[in-house]
Amino acid sequence: MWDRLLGSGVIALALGYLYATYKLPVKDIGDPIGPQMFPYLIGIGTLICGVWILIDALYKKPVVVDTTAPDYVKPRPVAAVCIVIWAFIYYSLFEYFGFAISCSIFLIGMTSFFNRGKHKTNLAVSLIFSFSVYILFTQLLDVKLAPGPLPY
Amino acid sequence: MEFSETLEHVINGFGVALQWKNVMFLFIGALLGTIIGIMPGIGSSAGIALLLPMTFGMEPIPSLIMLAGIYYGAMYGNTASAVLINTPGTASASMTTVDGYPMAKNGRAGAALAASAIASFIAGTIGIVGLTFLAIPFTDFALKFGPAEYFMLMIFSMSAVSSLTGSSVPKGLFAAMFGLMISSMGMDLQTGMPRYVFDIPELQTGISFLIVIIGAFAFAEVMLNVEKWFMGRLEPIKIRGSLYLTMAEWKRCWRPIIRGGLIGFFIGVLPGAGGTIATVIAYSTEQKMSKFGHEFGKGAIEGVAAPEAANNASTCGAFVPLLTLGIPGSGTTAVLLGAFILFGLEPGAELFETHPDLVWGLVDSMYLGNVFLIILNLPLIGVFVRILYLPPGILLSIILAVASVGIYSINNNTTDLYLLLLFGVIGYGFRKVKVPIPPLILGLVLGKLMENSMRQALIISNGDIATFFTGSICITLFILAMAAMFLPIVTSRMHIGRERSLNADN
Repeated sequence: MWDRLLGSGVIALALGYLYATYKLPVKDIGDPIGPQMFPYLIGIGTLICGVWILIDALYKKPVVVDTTAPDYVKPRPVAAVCIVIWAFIYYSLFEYFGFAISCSIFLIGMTSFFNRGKHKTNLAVSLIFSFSVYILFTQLLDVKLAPGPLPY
Repeated sequence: MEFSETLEHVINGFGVALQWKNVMFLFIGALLGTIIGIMPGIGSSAGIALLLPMTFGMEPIPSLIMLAGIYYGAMYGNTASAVLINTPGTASASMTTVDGYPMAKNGRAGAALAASAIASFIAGTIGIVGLTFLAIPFTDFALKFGPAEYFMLMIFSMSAVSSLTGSSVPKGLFAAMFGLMISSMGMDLQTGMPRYVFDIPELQTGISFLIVIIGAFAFAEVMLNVEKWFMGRLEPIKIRGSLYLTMAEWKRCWRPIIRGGLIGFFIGVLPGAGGTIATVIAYSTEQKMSKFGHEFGKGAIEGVAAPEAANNASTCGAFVPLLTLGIPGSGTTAVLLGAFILFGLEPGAELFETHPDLVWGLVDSMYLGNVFLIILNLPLIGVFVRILYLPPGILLSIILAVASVGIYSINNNTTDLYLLLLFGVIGYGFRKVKVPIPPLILGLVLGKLMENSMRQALIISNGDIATFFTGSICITLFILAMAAMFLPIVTSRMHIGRERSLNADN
């Protein structure tokens, strides 16, 4: 089922990309080949891949997972989704609170969930990591990071 | 002539590699590589990409020495998680789990780790010697390449990587196409026209390959590991047994190490084949040749030594096409090529002429790096494996934080962070539907180079497409590309046919 969806998605992506390539503005100056030719090849190649995946999926015998097997473990994609949401919140706060503070909040949240009950360790790891990375990047490596309310 | 020329370069290279600054960054690279290799799932591609932003203010020689150190250092470290938690640190350590984990369960984890470290050292040295002596002949060959030959070489490299990594040829090819699509975003370098920027100013310069790599490898890997944590799959075994080999174990190991080293090096030179295939071939060769074939899969020490030797030698082999032709043969070497480009350098025959100090300093640093790594991975491995006993939540959170800070530091804007998130989700989805990531990285890094070569070749030939099928090099590369793409399908069909006829006979 997933492969059929993937094949269909790849075909849709290829068609969208080919349409976007067709709509690209073209100037007559510059090189005679133009900016469209290579993308057209990529689009056609992707379309072929999509059709190939779909044909493979239609003719392939579906793999049946034995959910009653003793070593079967149910996948937990919700856990991965939670990470994405938490990271999205972190990135939204990144410039407003600055790196050191937003990273501390992010890490405290993550470690409190995954390393439950060890509040002191979690707090120490989160604060030491965030502030030491901030100092390392901004003061020693001369790489700019969002300061937020911090003076430097 | 070639030998004396090589020797002269090697001596000069040591002069560069032994400068204190380069030695220091080599040690840091070896150390970080070992740590990255030990962490399950992160791998050398993501490791190099994660640390690349930190080298932005540094000089190219120490930076590239450090990044290369991370690459082959990870090949040493990846055994620990393969042996102790049955999860390979990188894909090329997969074969090590087959005998390494049973050895650990039998209380012989120390011997497995020692065999791996010694095999890695010996085979790594074989690989570096091979790289040293193949470099000059390969650069001489590279001088025969024009834009059309380079285009066909990139087609071959991509088709080989796409069809040999992962379980499905069309999925691998799609990953490469997706990488090419991303690389086509941003300003067209020859006409100055924007392409696929969707009126987003941050996309005018395209999407940095670091965002895609860190997202698709590191971020996605954290998501998968968090899922595994919920599924309760990360329980390490404590190291038991001596960290040295007995004479009997050494006698069983040394031949497989040499054979594995040679197999690994020559397979590493081929684009696409890479470490994983080298380990599979080395393992099956030993299984057939060993007197203890019946022990394979149950904890045979040769089953750890041979693939580990092949794995390490293949990394040195992979440097041959990267440095001499400028063509990466795997995801990690594609990231390294990206690092070269970020420093304004283009690997290939010309680099040997213009920056011999860099190339030979880098090659010679590997001899020294191997010495550092045997020290880090034999007597000190007990210290490093403690990483595996760290609460996974802390480790995974820190990886995400490092990934985010590295990405933000590229352009100082949060759009890159949202793109990181997007590519993290795409990478996670790709893993779930079994689309391999290395071809994506290859397509991404090679995209612009491929397009430039194609356009140059067509301008030279006045738009005649036949230029790509003229000349022995182009034709050979085309045949190889087709073979790389279709041979796995033919052999798999033959295998299925043979199985069916066997079943019918039974």
